[in-house]
Amino acid sequence: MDWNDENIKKAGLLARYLQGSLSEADEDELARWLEEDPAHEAFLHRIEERREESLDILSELKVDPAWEGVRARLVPEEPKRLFRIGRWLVASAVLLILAYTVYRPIQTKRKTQQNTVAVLADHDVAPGKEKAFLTLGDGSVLVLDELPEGAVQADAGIKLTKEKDQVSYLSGATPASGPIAYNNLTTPAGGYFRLVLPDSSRVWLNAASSLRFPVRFGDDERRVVLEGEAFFEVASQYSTDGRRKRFVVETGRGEIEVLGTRFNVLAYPNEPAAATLLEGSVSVSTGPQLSKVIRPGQQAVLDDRLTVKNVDVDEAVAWKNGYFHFRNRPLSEIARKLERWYGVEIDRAGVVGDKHFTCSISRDKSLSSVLKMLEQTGEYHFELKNGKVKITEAR
Amino acid sequence: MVTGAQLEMLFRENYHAMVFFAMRLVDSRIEAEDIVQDAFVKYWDQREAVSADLQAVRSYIYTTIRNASLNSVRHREVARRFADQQIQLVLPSEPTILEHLLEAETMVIVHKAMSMLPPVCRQIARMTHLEGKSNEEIATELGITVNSVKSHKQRAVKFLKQYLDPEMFLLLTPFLD
Repeated sequence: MDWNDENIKKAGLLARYLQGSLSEADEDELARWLEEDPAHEAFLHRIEERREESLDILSELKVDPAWEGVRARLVPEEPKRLFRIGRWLVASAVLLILAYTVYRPIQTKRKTQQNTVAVLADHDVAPGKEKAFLTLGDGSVLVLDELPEGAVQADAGIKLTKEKDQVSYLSGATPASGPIAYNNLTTPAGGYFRLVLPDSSRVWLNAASSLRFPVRFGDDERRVVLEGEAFFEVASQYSTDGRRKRFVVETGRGEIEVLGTRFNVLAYPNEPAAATLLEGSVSVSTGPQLSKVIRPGQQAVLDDRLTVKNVDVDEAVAWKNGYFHFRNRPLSEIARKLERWYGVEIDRAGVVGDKHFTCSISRDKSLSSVLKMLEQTGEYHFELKNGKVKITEAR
Repeated sequence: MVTGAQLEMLFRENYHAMVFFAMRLVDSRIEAEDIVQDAFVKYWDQREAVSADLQAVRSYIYTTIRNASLNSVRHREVARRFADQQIQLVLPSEPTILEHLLEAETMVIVHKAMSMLPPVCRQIARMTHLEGKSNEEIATELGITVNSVKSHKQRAVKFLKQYLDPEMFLLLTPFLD
């Protein structure tokens, strides 16, 4: 069956029609297509009518288990049999490689911008997945992704439950007195995890991040320490004398204080920290005399100064919803995010400027597919080798 | 030759559209999923005989799915004929099959775009399209103001416009070389 560029464009056109976002050029093209054959109009009506039913079918499909099933049935690829090749063959291969390395610079210089995409990838890198360590009060470490589902025995008197990509401190009774143990949830590069704190506040921890928190919150405030990126859904809580208990996120660059709300905190050591608010109100401070209150849709950037601006909130929390969403972002920032999510090193030494990109990509994609998309902009060339990515100027 | 990693990418990129397509022919989700998975296994066994061009591989797998689906429908018809003596074999025509394919690819794009919306926007879009509810009804049901229903809608429209932009679109379908 031939499924060519024409059809792909047609599917895009019809999708825009179904979402009511046709451009003027689209309208003309659609009109032409409808005139071609009366069956086209009937077809369009049919798919429009069963649109929701179709979307339901698609949302029920799960690609991960399906792929696991297929993979188990594949006959493995044969390992490369280098040893059987005669010496002369090796020698000629070496010659070929030499010739290629000499020829290639000439060729790449000559190459005009073509439509072909050539991300070089010897081993592709899978996207991040649920992976984290939990350090308990006594210093012992639990590898969460390797623990069986269900109850986990942790510090004395503390019961945890682990369920898929989430660890919860809600299940057991915590001792009301005695010293408070601090636990530490850490994700490596290429990992993420979710956490339910003892006050039932929820935390999504992005890759290469760490959150330190007490297994029981004191009566005056709730305080956690973050390095990296996390999204918080903080539950309202009252102290014994009826005051609303504040929740404080401490970062290397300042504190974020809330009563109960949803917000994202970005606090990696190698970039400016930022707090983005979705609901409620939040106070951000970088010192005793410098603090600001931000409103939903605003972001406070904690750099040398404290600045507040209006932002696209969806962009800031895209990671939590499973995708990268970059709106006019510099390559350097995109590279940092990719480094953390795929656990790779990205070398930008071969790049002169820091161009800006706009794109949305699912975080479920393998690294080479993301690089391939970026490469289609025609600005840069990406080479993925031994878990390292080298970016060079295109042409 | 296509590598295991490339096959996985092809699978992940196309699974939804392919199952949807097969479902339009065999009218059963479970059977459709089996047919698609079998087609990938079959391709892998014969990969040396098929061009490594990913577009060609995709066409090959689609053809396998089509043939397997039509075979299954044929078998079912034969069984039914034994049962109630009807002599009638209805197989879809080629143009109809191509329509199913176009529908599958179209709906997958819409589905992807919708799944990138924040959950609230998605729910509002659903209530509008599927349940035909007014802004006021949606506001009452979700316990938010009519104005925020409107602003969610505007945000959704803006996002979808951007997402489905024909120039962006190229970026989002990377494996169809």
